[in-house]
Order: sequence, then C-alpha cells, then structure tokens
Amino acid sequence: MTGPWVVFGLGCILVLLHLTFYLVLLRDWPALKNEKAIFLSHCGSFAALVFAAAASCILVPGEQMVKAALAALALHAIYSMSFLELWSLSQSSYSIAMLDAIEEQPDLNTEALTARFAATGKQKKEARLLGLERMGLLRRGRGRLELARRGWVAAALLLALRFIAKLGHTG
Amino acid sequence: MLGIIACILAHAFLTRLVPGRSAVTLFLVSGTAVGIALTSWAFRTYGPATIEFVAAVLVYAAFCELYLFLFTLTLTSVSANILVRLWDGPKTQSELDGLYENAAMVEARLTRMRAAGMVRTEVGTLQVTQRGKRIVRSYRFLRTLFRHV
Repeated sequence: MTGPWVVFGLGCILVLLHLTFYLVLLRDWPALKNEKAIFLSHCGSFAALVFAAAASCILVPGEQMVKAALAALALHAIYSMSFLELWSLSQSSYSIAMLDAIEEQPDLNTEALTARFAATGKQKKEARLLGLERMGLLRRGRGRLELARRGWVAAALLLALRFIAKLGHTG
Repeated sequence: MLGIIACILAHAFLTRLVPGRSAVTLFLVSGTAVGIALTSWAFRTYGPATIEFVAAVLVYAAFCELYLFLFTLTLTSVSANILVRLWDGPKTQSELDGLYENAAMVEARLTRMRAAGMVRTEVGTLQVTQRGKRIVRSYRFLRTLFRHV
C-alpha cells in the first residue's frame, strides 16, 4: 500500500525541487532566459519522472502503482504547463503589455496605442513566420507561404479545436 | 477519460447554447461542473485518502489545463492563426500582412480586453478598470519573479 504513495511523493518532491532550484539558482542564469531553454528544462524534469514512474511500474507491477505514476505525471504536467504559461505571458504577452502601457499612461487613446504597438506587432508577425518555418510547419515556394506536411496536421488539430469551442477567426 | 470527454462535449454544447459568451468562461463553467461530478464519484467509489482518488482528480485537472491552453492558443496566438489561414491555400507575404495588419491586431486585442472588462474608453482615452489593474499588478509581479525586467 505504501509503494504507490512513495512514487506519488517522489513526484511531488521533484516538482518542489525543480521550482526551488529555479527560484534560488536558475532564474538569473542567462542561458535560461529564453522560451526554448525553459521549455527544455521542464521536458527534462518530466522525462526523468516518466523514467522513474515506468521503472516503478516494472519493478512493482500492479494497478495501484500505475495510478500513482499517472498521478505524479499529471501533477508535474499541471506544474509545468502553469509555469510555462505564466513565464511566457509575462515575457511576451502583446495584450498584457498593452494593458500595462495604458495603466502607465492614462491619457492614451486608441490611435496612440496603435502607433506605439504597431512596430511590435510587425516584429511579432515576422518572428512567428520564421519560427513556423524553422519548426517545419511552413515553407516558402514560388513567392508564397504554404503549409508543410507537419503544418497540415497542426492546422487540422487547430481547426478541430475551433470547431469544438466554436471560435471564429481571431489573432 | 469519460470525465474528460464529458467536459469537452459540455463545452461544445455550451458554446452553441450561449453564443457570444467568452469560450474561456464557458469552459470554466463546464469544466468545474464535470470536475465536481467526477470528484464526487471518485470520493464515493474510492474514498478520499486513496491513490485512485488523487489520480482521477489530478489527471482530469491536467487534461483540463491542456485543453484550455490549446483552445486559447487558437484564439490568441498569431502563429496558430497563420497556420489556420493557410489551410485555405498558399498566401503571399503581403496577403498575410493584410490579414494581420498592425492596427487590426491592436484593435482585436482592445476589443477582447473591453469585452473582458479590463479596459474602458472615457472621454476618448483608454482607462484600465479595477480588474485590469489587478492583472497589471500580477503581470509586473511575474516579470520581477521571472527576471524579465
């Protein structure tokens, strides 16, 4: 009976250690001040937990151990997704940066806000296009941009989500 | 698994039943309702201090967060929207630039913020509401925490 709780406990400890390590040591580390590095640090931690969970299920087979492993992995997934979303939002959220600018300068009107953020919007768009090409989701051909094979799969998933949640075109 | 499917179906149903309401709000409603039902079922079936109960609740919560992240991505992400636009066929750079014209991007975000009660317009200028101020304070705290400043 204690085996599954030990596995779950280890998952909790790993999450706490990862967060503590980041707050105490890593957040001032220049190598970790970009999205990819932060993402990889969480992937590495999650991969270690997957390995440990799989090993525990092999060494102590049983339904309870599998459920403990799933619980630990789910906890880490919640932690990582929350962390990465907050990290990313606070680094590069276009909307919140606009809100911050309006709060700092109470006499802003829509035209002034647009002028101030138009350049950011252009850079964001161009950076995204480059990023999508590098990830193999887009390609350029005959002067036009088109979906690559992986891009078709990604776009199909996004359209399925839009259908379920009944979202229109935004961005 | 049934809980996750029920949550997604409930969300799909609510977005069609109450069009025009925020998809995020409707998901919080459907996700919470299904979550309460799932938690009650797990509590009665397994008891509170069992690994089965903890696993059921955490796995459901993780999938909810993933689903929320994915559909808000389709709502607000420039990259996601570019991919969806290209589903209709290849586009030139200027066609995409036209779709994501800078003023339109700013206006789209302002519209969402007004609808969410974060910003209002007073005497021709933009004002942040109390709700918006709380978000700005959280944003500034997070930027300090993550050393983005």
